[in-house]
Amino acid sequence: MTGPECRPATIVHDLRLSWSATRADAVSALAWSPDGTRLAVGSLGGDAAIFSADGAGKQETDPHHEGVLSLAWSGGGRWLAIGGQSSSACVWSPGAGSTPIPVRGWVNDLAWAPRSDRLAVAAGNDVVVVRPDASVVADYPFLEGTVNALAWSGGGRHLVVATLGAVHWFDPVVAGRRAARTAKVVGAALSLAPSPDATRLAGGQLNGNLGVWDEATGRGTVVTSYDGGVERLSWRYDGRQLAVAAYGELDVWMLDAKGTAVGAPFCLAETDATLGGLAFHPSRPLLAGGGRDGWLQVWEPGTGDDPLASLEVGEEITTLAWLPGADALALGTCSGAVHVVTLG
Amino acid sequence: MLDEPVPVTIVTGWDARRTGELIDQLVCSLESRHIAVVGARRPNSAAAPAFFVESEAEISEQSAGCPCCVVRSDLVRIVANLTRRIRPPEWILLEAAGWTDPVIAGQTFLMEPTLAGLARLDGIVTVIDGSAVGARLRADESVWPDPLAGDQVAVADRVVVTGTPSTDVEDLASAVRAASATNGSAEVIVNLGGEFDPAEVLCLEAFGPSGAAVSAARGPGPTRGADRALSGSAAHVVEAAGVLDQGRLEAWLDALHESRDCRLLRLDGVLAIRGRDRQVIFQGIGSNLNRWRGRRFAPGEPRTNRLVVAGRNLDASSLRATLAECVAS
Repeated sequence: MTGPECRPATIVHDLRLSWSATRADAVSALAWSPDGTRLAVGSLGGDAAIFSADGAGKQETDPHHEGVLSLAWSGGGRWLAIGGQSSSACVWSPGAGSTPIPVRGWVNDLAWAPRSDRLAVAAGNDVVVVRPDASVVADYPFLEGTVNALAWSGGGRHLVVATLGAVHWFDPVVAGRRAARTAKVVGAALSLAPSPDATRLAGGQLNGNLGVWDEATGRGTVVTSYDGGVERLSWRYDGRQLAVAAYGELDVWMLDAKGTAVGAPFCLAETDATLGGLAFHPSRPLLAGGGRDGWLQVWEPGTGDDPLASLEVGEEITTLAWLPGADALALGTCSGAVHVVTLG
Repeated sequence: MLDEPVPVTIVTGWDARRTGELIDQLVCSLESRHIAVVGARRPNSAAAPAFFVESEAEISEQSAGCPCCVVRSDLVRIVANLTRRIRPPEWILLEAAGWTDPVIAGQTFLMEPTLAGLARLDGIVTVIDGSAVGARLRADESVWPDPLAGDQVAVADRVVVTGTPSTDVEDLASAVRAASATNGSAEVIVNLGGEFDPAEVLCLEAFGPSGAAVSAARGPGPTRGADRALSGSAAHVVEAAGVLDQGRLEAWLDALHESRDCRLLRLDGVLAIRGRDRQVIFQGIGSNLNRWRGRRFAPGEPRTNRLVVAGRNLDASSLRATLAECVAS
């Protein structure tokens, strides 16, 4: 992001610090429980902790040997899935502690199926779907390359997997190991984001391509091609806008029901690196972004390029997450700081 | 948190055991340092590296239909995460052994924008088993067991011929001669185990303008070296006197990159281009080619051009003849 010079003349909202905590290494993942009462924080040092929403309480989970890369709460907030670089993943719950999930390879992503206790784990070239007790529901071993991202689409009907050269749609209940649909892509698919209305799936690639697929027909469209990898995607709560953090740019696209771009994107920032954190508010048209320059900014895309609010954190922001049902968000930094800030 | 990019050394070689042994030696020698090893196997050394990240080469096209614009997407992810630690590694040793192509690993660091500022390629070190090369020569086989093994030598900044104190001296000498014939611009060192000075293979600073200029200046003269290795991999010195025409030079470089008869592995050069009062420094690995402004020419200084071009199936005499055609009339 462009730093102080991009601060608006008039700050419409304040960003106030609610509380802060410190972890032993760079914060790599954040996840609020669905009811907003707990915040899970993972670090590249391998530790994961659960904070109460006010920051007063903290519970540590069993440490991983190497960095935590992904955290995901189950829909009811009963279980927390943790995965990371030490080729390990587990399901943690306050009462039962950690249940290890047998995987091979670096765990890049985890996702619980909506309204279900099925957890999809991307580990190396494999994807495994398990229950909280680690019993296997389905597995998809030896895919073309490392699985970089996965997501449940179509309201949980399909498990979508982004890997080298392809995006696969699996149907764990009906089709077994065969992909129900496969879209070939050039290079590595990096990021996936199903639209909130379950009609479209956005995908970003290492070569800079941004694609959107129509869930009903499977037809894909390359929306644009950026100069570098498209690492982060976030849909607005109503599915009318898609925020895209690619190397060098932060854009917001207006997309129609078929995934076709309506006009040119709003370019909110030019960055010198990929943004560490990017997320639309769960229920308001607000977009938060934070990156290497240490600035947290909140925009309302479509109402002007200037951010509504800015906060200088002073060090690289590595990840961020909105608190469900509130105008507050958590952000993590490269020095291990966790800040929860409120939009006033 | 990074003050400056983390240096990366690619340790390559056909025999994964030998590359692993060199990595073990380096990890032991650098025990007090914060070293990361990225590769297919965890080092066996008594001293564990600060980080070990298991990795399989994952080749990703960056441009539709262009088979040479590829990067190692696994490295993009791994290096980005390693360098974001509060205490990032001081050095990354990247193992690229056996069928792993060091050129694609190297061009990842030069092509991929997300790694800019996070990591810099310091050098490519190729490990050769001295006994195995000697045995192949005695059996009258080609020196390198596979074209990729030849590529691994041709692209190197340092070649380490390994053996033990009991390895036949003639075998070691054969391996040194074979390495020098394939890549006369790389320094060849013999390593018989035991203590190993990491400075022999680290801190080479072979990539970047100064490294390219040094690499271009090294090596045999144009009448020696690997001219006979027409069907294999080799680093060739190509020289021409006078100033080059920019347009002809670009066409020459394009033809070199796009040729289906050969594979361009690496290029280091210091050139004089018409209308420029400074040297122009070129360096490329695989499909990537960087160029920088070099030093200003002294008054009356003769204009010369010197390139070290490493590739598979390159014809050195043709390279020289066609570069000479680029000299401005």
